[in-house]
Amino acid sequence: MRRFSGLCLVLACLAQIGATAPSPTLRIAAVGAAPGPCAAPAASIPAGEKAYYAHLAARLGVAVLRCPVTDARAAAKALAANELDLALLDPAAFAQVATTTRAILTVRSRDGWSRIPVVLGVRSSSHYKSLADLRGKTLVFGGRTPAALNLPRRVLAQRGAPPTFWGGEIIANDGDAAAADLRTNKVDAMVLHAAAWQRLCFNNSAKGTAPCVDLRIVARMRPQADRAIVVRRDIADETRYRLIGIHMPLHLENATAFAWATTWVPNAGEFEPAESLALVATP
Amino acid sequence: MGRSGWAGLAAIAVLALAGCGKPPTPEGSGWRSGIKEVRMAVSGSNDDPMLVKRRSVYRDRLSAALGLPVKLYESSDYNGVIQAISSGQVDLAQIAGGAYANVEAQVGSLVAPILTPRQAEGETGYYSAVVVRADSPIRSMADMKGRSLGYVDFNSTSGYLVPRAKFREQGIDPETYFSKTSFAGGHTQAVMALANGQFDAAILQASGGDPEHGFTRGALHTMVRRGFVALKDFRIIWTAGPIPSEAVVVRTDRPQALIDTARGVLASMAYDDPELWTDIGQLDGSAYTAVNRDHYKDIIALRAADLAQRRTEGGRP
Repeated sequence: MRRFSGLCLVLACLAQIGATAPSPTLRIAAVGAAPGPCAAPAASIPAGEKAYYAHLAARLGVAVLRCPVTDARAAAKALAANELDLALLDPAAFAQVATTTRAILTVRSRDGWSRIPVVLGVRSSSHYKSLADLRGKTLVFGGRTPAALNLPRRVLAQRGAPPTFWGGEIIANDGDAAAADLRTNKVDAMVLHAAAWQRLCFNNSAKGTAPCVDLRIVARMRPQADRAIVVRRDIADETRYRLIGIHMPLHLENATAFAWATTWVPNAGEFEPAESLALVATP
Repeated sequence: MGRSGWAGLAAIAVLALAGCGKPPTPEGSGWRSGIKEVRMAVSGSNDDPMLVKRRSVYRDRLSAALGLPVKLYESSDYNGVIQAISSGQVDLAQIAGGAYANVEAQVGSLVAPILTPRQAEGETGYYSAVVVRADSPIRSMADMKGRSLGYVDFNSTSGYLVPRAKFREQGIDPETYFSKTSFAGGHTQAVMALANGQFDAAILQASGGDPEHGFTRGALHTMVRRGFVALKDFRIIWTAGPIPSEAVVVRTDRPQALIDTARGVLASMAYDDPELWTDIGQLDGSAYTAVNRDHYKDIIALRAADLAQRRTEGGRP
């Protein structure tokens, strides 16, 4: 019985580790011409790539292995099969493995904006329940700044609502003017970035009057990321947070490594964390 | 095998799974050796006490990710947090830029900023505002000559350090221009002192917007939300900024794994749980961005200059 119990203990541990444990090394997908087994980075790889692997190895205290794959789809497949720990994926590649992996990091361009949410609002009294209900209706934007106009346009287009989706578009001077247009039935919907919505609807009264009680949020949406660093969902929380915590200041701590790790973003500024479905245009 | 045998096996299996614990991390738990708990300090006087309580969210998230107990220490003033992080009594803290400058002057690189909030439009700063009561005849800084002014705290960036520097730039000597100056002790206290007529004007922090579009956060808005005052009873007559926002700072003599994990946990909140993020008082659409000492170098220089000036002039607030 004692021997059997001991066997059970070992099997239980092995079963759990086999299902969820990351490799004792960090295996990173490297897209190239030919696939191959994971191996220590060769001396011939570019200096930036070498610096990136060395930085991660030093900070995590593990050996970093380079895993050649032919493209992002192959990387996604290998990631889901626990043959890799970390890969850069695009939305199409991520779609294959969305249930078993998650995004953890994207890159913010120096001259771009963060992936801030935008809010699509309607009059509370209207019957519109979703973005799809608003096809052919009139939309107002809350200004001409990139965050007020370009960002919502991009987010809406990613959800199947480009300018041609709407019956008409108005660009108001600011959030207050946009809300006035919505309240006076000049338009059917209003789109603002999250901070503008908060400014508009902040409760300024001690008596608790709600400035936006006559408005209703139909959708709150972040921009879909073009690419993201992705890990398996069963990765240990500490490992995921450490990877985020190591990548975020990379531009400040190791410019060579950062430049190589972000070559896919023009004028890359910094890594920023990402929600699990950053590569999906969620409703 | 009898019933007791199966029960024993089940117990063994449960113990085995518990013993296996969460998936192992690459480095294992070696860095935790000798660390019994992680301690974080926040200032309890410069914000809504309810929000400070909600920061226990930080504690719970950090504890879960670090696999260590996390204790949250709330100090009633800036100096408490400054001394706690400078002396190493806590491992990390949330402090204003001016307070970090004070820490930097004491212990240099032993404490480093790692994160600061970035607003939706990309700004990483906030504003200092001179506020008067709406029924006051004072409409500009010119009208403030010979009037009384309330600062927040000697260690407050927006409530002392930056406005005094800006006053000097604009030809206003803060030592002689006002009839009386004193410290209210915190932003909340400054709002109430102004409302009660103790000062003709008070200097307050304002955020969540800018002078052109107005503000949605800051000391005044906090007190409005708590029902103590009404926004319409006050008027902003002067602003300075943007000022580098508060920092999450860490002791650099702690394990790098702890620092990296803490940065990842705190920075992920805005994305993993956006409703919680705004619930703990962060601005909608904002997120943490990584920073280092350079982000605060202007504040550090201001603090050094102000200290030198005070030594020369005898230290009147």
